[in-house]
Amino acid sequence: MKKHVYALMCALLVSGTLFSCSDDENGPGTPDPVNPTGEVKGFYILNGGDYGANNASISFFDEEGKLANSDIYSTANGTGLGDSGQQMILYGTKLYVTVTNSNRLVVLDLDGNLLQKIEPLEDGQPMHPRYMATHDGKVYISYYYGHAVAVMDTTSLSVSRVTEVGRYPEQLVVADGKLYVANSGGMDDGNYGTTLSVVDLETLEVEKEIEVLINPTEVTADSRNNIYVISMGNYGDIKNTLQRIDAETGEVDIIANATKMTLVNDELYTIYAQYGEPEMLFKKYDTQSFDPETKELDVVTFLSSAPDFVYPTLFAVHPSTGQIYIGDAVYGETGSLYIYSSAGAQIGEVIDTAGPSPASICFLD
Amino acid sequence: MGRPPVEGEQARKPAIILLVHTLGYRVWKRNHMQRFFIGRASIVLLLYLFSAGQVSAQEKDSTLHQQLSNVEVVEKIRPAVTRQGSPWQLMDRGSMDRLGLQDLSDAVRRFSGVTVKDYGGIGGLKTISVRSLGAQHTAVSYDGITISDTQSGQVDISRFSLDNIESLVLSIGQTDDIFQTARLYASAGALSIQTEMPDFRDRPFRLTGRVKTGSFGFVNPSFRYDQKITETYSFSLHTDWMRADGQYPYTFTNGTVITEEKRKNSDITNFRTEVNLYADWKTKGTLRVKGYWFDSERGLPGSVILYNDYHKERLQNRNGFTQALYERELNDRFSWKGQAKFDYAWTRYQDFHSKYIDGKQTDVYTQREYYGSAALLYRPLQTLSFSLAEDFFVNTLDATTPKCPFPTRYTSLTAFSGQYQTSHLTLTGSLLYTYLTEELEIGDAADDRKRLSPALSVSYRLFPDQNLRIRASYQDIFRTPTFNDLYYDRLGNKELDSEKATQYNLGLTWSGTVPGLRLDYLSVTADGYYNRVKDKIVALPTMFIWKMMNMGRVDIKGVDVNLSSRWCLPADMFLQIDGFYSWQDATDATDQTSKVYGHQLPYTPLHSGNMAVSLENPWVNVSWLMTIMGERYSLAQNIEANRMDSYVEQQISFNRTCRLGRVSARLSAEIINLGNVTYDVIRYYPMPGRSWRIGIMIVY
Repeated sequence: MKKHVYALMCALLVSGTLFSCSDDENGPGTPDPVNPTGEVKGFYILNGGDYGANNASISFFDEEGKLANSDIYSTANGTGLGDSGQQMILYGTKLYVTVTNSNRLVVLDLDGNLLQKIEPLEDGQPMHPRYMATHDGKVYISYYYGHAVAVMDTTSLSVSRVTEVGRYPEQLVVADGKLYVANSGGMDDGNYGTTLSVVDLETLEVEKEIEVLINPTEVTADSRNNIYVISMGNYGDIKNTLQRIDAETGEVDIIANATKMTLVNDELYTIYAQYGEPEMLFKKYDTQSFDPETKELDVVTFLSSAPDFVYPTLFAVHPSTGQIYIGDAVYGETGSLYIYSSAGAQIGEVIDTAGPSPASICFLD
Repeated sequence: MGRPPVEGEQARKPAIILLVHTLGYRVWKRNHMQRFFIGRASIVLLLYLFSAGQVSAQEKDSTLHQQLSNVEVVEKIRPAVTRQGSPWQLMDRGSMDRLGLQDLSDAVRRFSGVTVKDYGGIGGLKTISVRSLGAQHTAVSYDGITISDTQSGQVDISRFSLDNIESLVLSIGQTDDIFQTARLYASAGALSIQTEMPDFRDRPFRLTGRVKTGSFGFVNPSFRYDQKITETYSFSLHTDWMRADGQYPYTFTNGTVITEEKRKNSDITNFRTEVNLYADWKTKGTLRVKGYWFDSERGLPGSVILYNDYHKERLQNRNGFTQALYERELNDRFSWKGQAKFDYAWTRYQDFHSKYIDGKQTDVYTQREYYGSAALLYRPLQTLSFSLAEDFFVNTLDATTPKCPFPTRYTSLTAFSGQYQTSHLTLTGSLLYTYLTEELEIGDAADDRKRLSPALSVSYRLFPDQNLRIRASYQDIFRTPTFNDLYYDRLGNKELDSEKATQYNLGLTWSGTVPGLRLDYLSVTADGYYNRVKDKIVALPTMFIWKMMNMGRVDIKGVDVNLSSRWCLPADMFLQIDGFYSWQDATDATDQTSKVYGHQLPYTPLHSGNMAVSLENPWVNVSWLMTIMGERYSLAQNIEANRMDSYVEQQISFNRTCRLGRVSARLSAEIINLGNVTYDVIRYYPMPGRSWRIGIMIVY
């Protein structure tokens, strides 16, 4: 379903090139030849940086994976992107980046020029924009410290509405006219959140809460509006778990253990990397194969031999080529990007992402 | 040269100390300075060595000799820096006053081999680390007993005032003074703080009042009262209060944009009081009892975060302790000392933001320590001595943070050491046995720990006519994981091993005078060292959580060169020049495949140096200080993005002492960061630009 919406958008905003992002947004645009774009194809990586080090950056790589610009934001604007970049999406012809600890959401053109910045304060207190979801020309943003969701219109580039949701909201996704927000409760000293808030897109009010396992952080949807949630648990006896919420029945079923996920072309790729487990698991689920009796999905291992990732902070799959991108972060060091074919074979050498903690990848192709 | 020294003046020339050779014992007793020596004989020995080279100069002037014998010398004896088997540096009261130093971190910066991590401002957190081993390997002791923080393992030295401190000693490795607590053997480096003991000269009491004021709303009145009760008993009371608003301006660079900012939420209010009781029962020993209370409340300005200026954290610290020291020389073979301490430290951290339930977050930590130590010194021969010390202490932590298991740690430290000392050779060896056991109110504690730590040092005088010595030392030491390392919710790791360090040092020391130059004395020490750290305890992020792990290996190589000199100038003037240069190559040696293998550790400059030049004269004493800090990297990876520029910070201070009858008044003024340099010690914690300070001290 999601894919059809964006295909429609492409048709509406026809120009030339097709773009895609790790979150499967599509939209054309007219790139400026100066910085990284033009007829140049390649990908952007948001490097989140180290907490407190003010070193979030966006680097651009050409098609071959060669570094073209290590910091497009600085090159374009002469200043730093900020501290703790959380997520970057490519929507329409613009890049939207949340830089959480700097309390900003920045909107950039494809060269990195700053078009708009949203630095939300309430009573002078920073709201910390965290994650984004897009739909129908709007960007929905979770405010981590604000316990709320904001709606931004992509034409005016301003926030029109802020709706309260649960505590410490993380990821969010739009499906079937509703916005699903994971309320992690992550900073409440062990009193983790247990719900997803469901916000009606018309009224922008929370219409219900769905109970899930504690500490839900990641949320995504397939083409049939089934919702997938990863709850991180309590880092103790309750492990990182993947759950499925049925679009028809609303039933919440536990599928398997998973820590990170990305859903592309109705295939749900997951990495299970629980601290304390002997090895990481790389599983791919066919979202259309759900068996209501056994509550299971067909699963295969998509990566049988992987290096010892320390902390895979970036995880994405290209919607056309099916190539898998995993970015590994080691504290204090620049990130390392590994690219695998859909068959699980490593392509090329490890790429240095030119900044610490790679978080998101956006494809220009 | 013949006038009696006035409060705060620079230490006398060593010429007088020759004479003290005979008066030495009496003076020593008067000042109760038993700390650095092992017996009367060694003082004599030491004085002989320290003044070696002065002898010939003195013998030429017999008139001088006669004058001196009438002078009441009340000078404090300084042990010979150059004689120590391991690197050892001293800063005395005179130097602190002369240089116009304000707080402990200011003074510690003048020692080589120390890195001070300064988080900015007057109230900012400051921790010290010796030769890149980390703050947890460095012990800080206050009048002989170690200050501990079992929770974080680091001591914030910003809470000590310099006002009532007599001396600071920085020792690396085991020291030559073997008659001390076992705990002082248990660290790779130690900063020993000694407070000023009362000095009753012509009166049975002394009143000292001080007021200081300076930039950024800094005000600091303090008061000290010393009273002699009888020949045996005396006490002293020291109180000080300080506040500063800390809102200093700084220049901030964000790419191509340079802005002028002001440090916010940086205010501090401190209150300190200390009472000491002294009893001197002559042959029956000496007793010293202390009570100390510290209360501070400050804002935490935090690090500068681009585009986000919100900092509302507050920190309140209350620390009270009482300690007692009893020392007795039983005969000329046996001496013993016993110490006890009870320490209470309460910390409250608060943060204010609507994100918290109730709009605020409050964390309260309470630590308690019960400490006892006994040490015995046995000297079968003039040249040979042995010491056995046993320390036992209990540490507890109560915290309101989630899942705090309320740990209690019992530690026993046993140190056995021996020393062979002649006029040209000092050989010291020690063995420390550590036994540690813990229990938790909730859950299973980490395993017991036992370890033997040896240390060896030697200092050898190469030539009979020159005070040139070669020294070598070795120490195998470790630091146990702190309560945070082991038990902090989610972050803690009970399986942690202790972090081990091995230190090797080789050096040359020389002191004396150079004929033809108007030198009072000159001392030079040069040390090369190699340290290895294994199982370094680091916090590493793994899948959404950070975890403490034994992940590191570090190789540290370095050279420290120290110089101290005093020159006589005409018209009753003196020029004191002190300085050091350090070269330090501290690199990660954990994993050859990693991106940081062989990279310099964060905040470790390759080159650094310090210089202090003082001109003492009868009008206004002037001192000029300079700190040079080479390039450093703010993160583990040595890339351009992490590189921090080198900087030079200068300071100038003036002081003058006047006497008005029985009262002496000392006026001082300082200008800090003379060049108004913009610099950070820790990245994004900006340091103040040019600022000033003036003070007045009245002694009655």
